[in-house]
Amino acid sequence: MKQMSKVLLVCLVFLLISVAALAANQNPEGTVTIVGSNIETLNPILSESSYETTVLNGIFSQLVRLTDQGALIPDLATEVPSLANGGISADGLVYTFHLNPAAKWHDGQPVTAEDVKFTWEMIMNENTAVPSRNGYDEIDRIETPDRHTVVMYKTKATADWLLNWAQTSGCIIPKHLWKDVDPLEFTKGHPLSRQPIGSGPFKLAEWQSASYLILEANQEYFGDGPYLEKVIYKEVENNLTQLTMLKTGEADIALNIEGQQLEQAQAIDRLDVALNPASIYVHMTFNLDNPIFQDKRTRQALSHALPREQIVDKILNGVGLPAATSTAPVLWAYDQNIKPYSYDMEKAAQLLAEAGWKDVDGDGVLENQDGLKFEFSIATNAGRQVRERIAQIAQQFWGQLGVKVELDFEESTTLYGDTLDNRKFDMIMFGWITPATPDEFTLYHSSQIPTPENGMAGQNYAGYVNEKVDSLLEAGQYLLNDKDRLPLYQMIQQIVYDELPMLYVYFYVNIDVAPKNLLNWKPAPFTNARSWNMYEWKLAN
Amino acid sequence: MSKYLIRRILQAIPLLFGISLISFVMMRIMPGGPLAGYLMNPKVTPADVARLERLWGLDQPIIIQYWRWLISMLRGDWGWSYKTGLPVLEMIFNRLPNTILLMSLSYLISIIVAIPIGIYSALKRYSVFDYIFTIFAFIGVAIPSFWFGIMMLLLFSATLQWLPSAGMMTVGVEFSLIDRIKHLIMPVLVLGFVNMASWSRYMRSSMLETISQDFIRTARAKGLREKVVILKHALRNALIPIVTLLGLSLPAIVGGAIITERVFAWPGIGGLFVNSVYSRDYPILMASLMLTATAVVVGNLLADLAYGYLDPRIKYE
Repeated sequence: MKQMSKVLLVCLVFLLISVAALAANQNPEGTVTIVGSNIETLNPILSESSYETTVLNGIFSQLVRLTDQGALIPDLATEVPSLANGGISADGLVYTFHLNPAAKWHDGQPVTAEDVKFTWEMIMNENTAVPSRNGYDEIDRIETPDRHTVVMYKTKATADWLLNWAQTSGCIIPKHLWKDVDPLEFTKGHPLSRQPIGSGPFKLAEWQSASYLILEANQEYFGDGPYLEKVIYKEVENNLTQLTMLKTGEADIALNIEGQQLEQAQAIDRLDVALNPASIYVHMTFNLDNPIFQDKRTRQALSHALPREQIVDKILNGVGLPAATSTAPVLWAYDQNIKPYSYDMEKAAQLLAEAGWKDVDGDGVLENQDGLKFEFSIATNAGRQVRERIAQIAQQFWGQLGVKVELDFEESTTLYGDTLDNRKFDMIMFGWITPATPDEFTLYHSSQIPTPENGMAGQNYAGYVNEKVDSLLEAGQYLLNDKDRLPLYQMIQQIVYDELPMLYVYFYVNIDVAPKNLLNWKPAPFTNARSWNMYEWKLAN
Repeated sequence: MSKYLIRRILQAIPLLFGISLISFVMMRIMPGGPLAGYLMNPKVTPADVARLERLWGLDQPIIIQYWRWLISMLRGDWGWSYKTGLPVLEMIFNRLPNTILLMSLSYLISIIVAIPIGIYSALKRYSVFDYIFTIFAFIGVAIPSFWFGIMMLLLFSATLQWLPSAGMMTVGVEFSLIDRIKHLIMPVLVLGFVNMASWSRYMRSSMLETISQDFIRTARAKGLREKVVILKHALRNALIPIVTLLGLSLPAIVGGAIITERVFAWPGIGGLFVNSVYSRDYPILMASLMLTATAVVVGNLLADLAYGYLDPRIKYE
């Protein structure tokens, strides 16, 4: 009998231990600390920084989420609307979303279709300081036939339109909390923007402004996860300090590590350091109104005389990718056959001669048939060493061809606000962030050259006009099927590669640093959001 | 004396008014502006920019914008930051105590160390001690605080792991004095070392000049003890230039140390100002300029008053 009870006791203990172990497995555990620049607001529809996105990804849910592979997956919506599943009507004008009925706000209220409609209304409200309504302004009206169904009626059919709902401003905000707030008070500083209630995998527990934020696991989360107990975000601007914090263990993930710190970061044993191509590129845009840039051979010559490999190796410490066109290598529509212009000074000289450039008066500077001297200035951001040095390299290499280049380093607000906006440049160098779509309508379409007549609309600062490109861009915007669109976008890539409205210099490569034992760490190239899947982050033992 | 004080304060009013007008207008006539950054975003249309301009009142003529700013500021409303949407006063007063804590501690330590060193170096001129401190002083003046800060981080945080590398408190821990002191040590030392170096040089030369004067010889001739001669007679006179320096440092105490704050991620006012310059956050910029301008005026006034205390021959009518 005694023996029996002993056995039973042992069994019981084992049972208890295994139950406890099982429970512990389900409980979120561990803490991951991210270090990045300052957070200004946690109001997703007013947010403008990728650092804020990093945190907001944990607190809020979206209808659909963009993965690191550039695909859309369901978030609040139970499936991603498509032509195949009937979520998108055949004419591309009606989008239907079915919300997950299990989704709850952090205060326990259910997430309903009304919240989605309200979010759109706030984005479109005249009195809120939403930076961009691009995409959302294509919605004519939203209907909510029942608590969990949202139907969006659009004014026109556009491809890749769902991507708008996967950006930070597509985070759904709670109507029951915001509805009584006057839209004029709907600011970045409103208490609800500082202590937001979302429906995401983590709740904001504490925010010490300019110091740190603490996110805690939301046990009521409707989806998979969260598996971490806490995510801490420390606000530190300086990248060397961030590196030190990685070394001391005060941080696990650093958002601002640069090429110069790469080796030091790699030397930290517990960290995994990966170089992942991003979707941001640096370019030198020609002002095609300038007569010296008229001939495309001239532009091709300058492209051949720009030593991209050397720029990436020497200036970027190898952390960059020479660019062939403006289409990101990580994008599905990228044409693998197009290679960046080779560095070839002889070819460059030959192209210039063909275009009629010759040093007639023997002063070392080329002239063309019209007697114009080949001299111009490159404007770029003052204080951004990489860009300043690239401009210097261009000056030196193009100088060898007899092209006289002046450097014009301007403070960023002046560069963008005046020089760029009013097209007061010969050549301007800065970076473009490309979204997860190959549609570059605003960049290359002839209607997008900013002029006072069109209200300075568009980003075609080069002043590029090509009828073929115009019609391809127009066609691509209305095709809903990626397969049909692919040939159009590859053709555009071939044309701009040949015609060069801008010199494509290099694509950014992100240095993604995370602990080796952090599972499901999948930094995304497009949104620069390394935390899009924070819900599934998990620490291995 | 009080008449003098009142006159000085009254003089300051039109001065501050003038500073505010000039800086307001200069800020606005610079090309670019708080909305320039949006040009970089292909999703923000010119219509969006126009809408934001109207929301922030930036579409009004400069003089009307100034008038609005002035009136509301005099009422105690300093406006809202464009970047964070928080009231400017709240943002400044959230950070000002952190900056004052950091700066005043570092100044205090510099004074405590620099003055005795300066006096001793002056009295034992060309001694080994004097040479050593001269070398240290030159190093202190020559070292960029950015580099010095990074070196401290490498030594005390990364290698020895004695001190936390950033911020002013450990995350999620209740306030504790020890924790705060640990976070303060490196930034205070970096800031203090630079000031200590230059102030000890000023003190040394000022002391040298003073002790060669006639009244010191007279004091010695009276048979006063050397300690009294130095501390009572010489020091007070030698302190006058130092007081000027201190008075001029007051703006730095409220303006913060931009680089040091950045390296150690100290949530002070320096970082706030720099960021507001980059983003042209006008309301924060104006507030910071006015704060520093006021500190300059007050610092000078305090220095002038201190002269009177140190040297009774200086009188204000």
